[in-house]
Amino acid sequence: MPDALLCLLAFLTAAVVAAPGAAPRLYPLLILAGCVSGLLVLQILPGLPPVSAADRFLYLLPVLLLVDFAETMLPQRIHRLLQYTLLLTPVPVILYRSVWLTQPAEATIQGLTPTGWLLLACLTPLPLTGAVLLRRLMTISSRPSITSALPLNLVCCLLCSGVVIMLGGYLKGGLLALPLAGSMLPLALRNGFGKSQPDRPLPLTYCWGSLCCLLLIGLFFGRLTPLQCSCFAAIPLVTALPLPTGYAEPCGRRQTAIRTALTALLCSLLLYQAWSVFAVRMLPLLAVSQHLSEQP
Amino acid sequence: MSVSRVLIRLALCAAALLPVTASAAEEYVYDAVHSSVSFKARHLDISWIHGRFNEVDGKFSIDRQDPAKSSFQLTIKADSVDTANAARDEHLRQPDYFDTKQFPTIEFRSTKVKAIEGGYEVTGDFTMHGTTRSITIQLMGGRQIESRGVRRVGFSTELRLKRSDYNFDKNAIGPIGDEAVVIIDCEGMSK
Repeated sequence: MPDALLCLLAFLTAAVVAAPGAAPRLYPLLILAGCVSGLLVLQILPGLPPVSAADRFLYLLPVLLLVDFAETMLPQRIHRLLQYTLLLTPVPVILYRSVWLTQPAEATIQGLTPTGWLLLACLTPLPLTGAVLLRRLMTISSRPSITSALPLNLVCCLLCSGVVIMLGGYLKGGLLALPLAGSMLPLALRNGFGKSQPDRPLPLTYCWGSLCCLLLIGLFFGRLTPLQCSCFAAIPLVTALPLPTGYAEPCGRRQTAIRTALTALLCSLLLYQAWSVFAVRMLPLLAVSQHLSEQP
Repeated sequence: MSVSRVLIRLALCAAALLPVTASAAEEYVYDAVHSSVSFKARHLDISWIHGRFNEVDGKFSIDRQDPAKSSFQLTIKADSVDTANAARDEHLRQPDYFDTKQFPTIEFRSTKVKAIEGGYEVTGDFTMHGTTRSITIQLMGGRQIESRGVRRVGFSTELRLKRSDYNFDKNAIGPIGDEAVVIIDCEGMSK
């Protein structure tokens, strides 16, 4: 397992570097700088050419952020179009040239098997659908508490999904979640518990796109189960649902805390389940290694 | 005699010689039952972990008159890694190690063959984990026998590879040593 101190250091470095500065319009650059710093602490650098899914994901990150960065500069319709088009890319990018699309080798069209084409056709719209649902929920409710809680919920889901991927045996894939979540944390805290209304737009493409990519990597290349993957994707949507009418909403921060606590609770259930499997499957292996490393 | 007749006779002579030239190369396919591709890697620098790949395919063409015309191909299915521990095998299949969903095969394709005493020196492209490097192996053996109507030939080799040369995750090179020894014992059956 990775060094817990190093993991904490990577998370905190990303958070400190990404802490919102004086220029609100430059916050996507700070987020990117935070993420890159965290990755450097973990000594994770994207390979060139990006042959693995994790490498391709890392190269996709700045593009996701760039679209969020352009939100204040572009007309809303064009920005949405860009955002939604980009959210159609995670699935083909992550699965590019993997066995999921290219094997069995019989009867391929443009190098992809019919099963591969079907998988692409079914999965590609999912990140976009999630983003549209999130935005719709935010628009329908038009309550600041949802917008405030959403980044924190996404940070929570990212962190926990990373840990679950690591517990499944894919360390590098899970570690990616730490700088990602760290880089989102300052903005998420500011949005959730800041004294004033958020002064920066929510980087939905980056937050949601990152979570989707990480879940896809865990599902197709790690040992994240379809159920775990669906739960981690659904939790931010469920916890963003408007509360029943009549429920008093005196304070946005209280609502944020409730929604975040609910997210944390649901995520911890998934963590517990993943830990139970890890304890049975992998812990004996590690225990043997630990025992050997302690020998003089 | 006209030029066209000369040309026709030359072409007929060449055609008559062609089967003889082609038959000089013996074609074999990898016999999975009597062959093995195994490996070992250092654990904590005190012992060796052994493993093998259970699904291997290959073919060789051996030209004893002109060894440079021989060729060797081996394709290993990375998913078939077996270290006698299911949890560890599952871990090895993940992207920290072989990343078998992205790189399903490990391949060797010869590019140059030279006869040496007791076998062949084979240079070729070895592709593992999405990285191709040129390596040279000493393929010992090559004695041909006929058993139950099937012509057979056997080779053995041992090669040392560094995982770091093949773009494996450097963070995963810790308790398991960087260098792995691959032992190939293969038997070919005539097609």
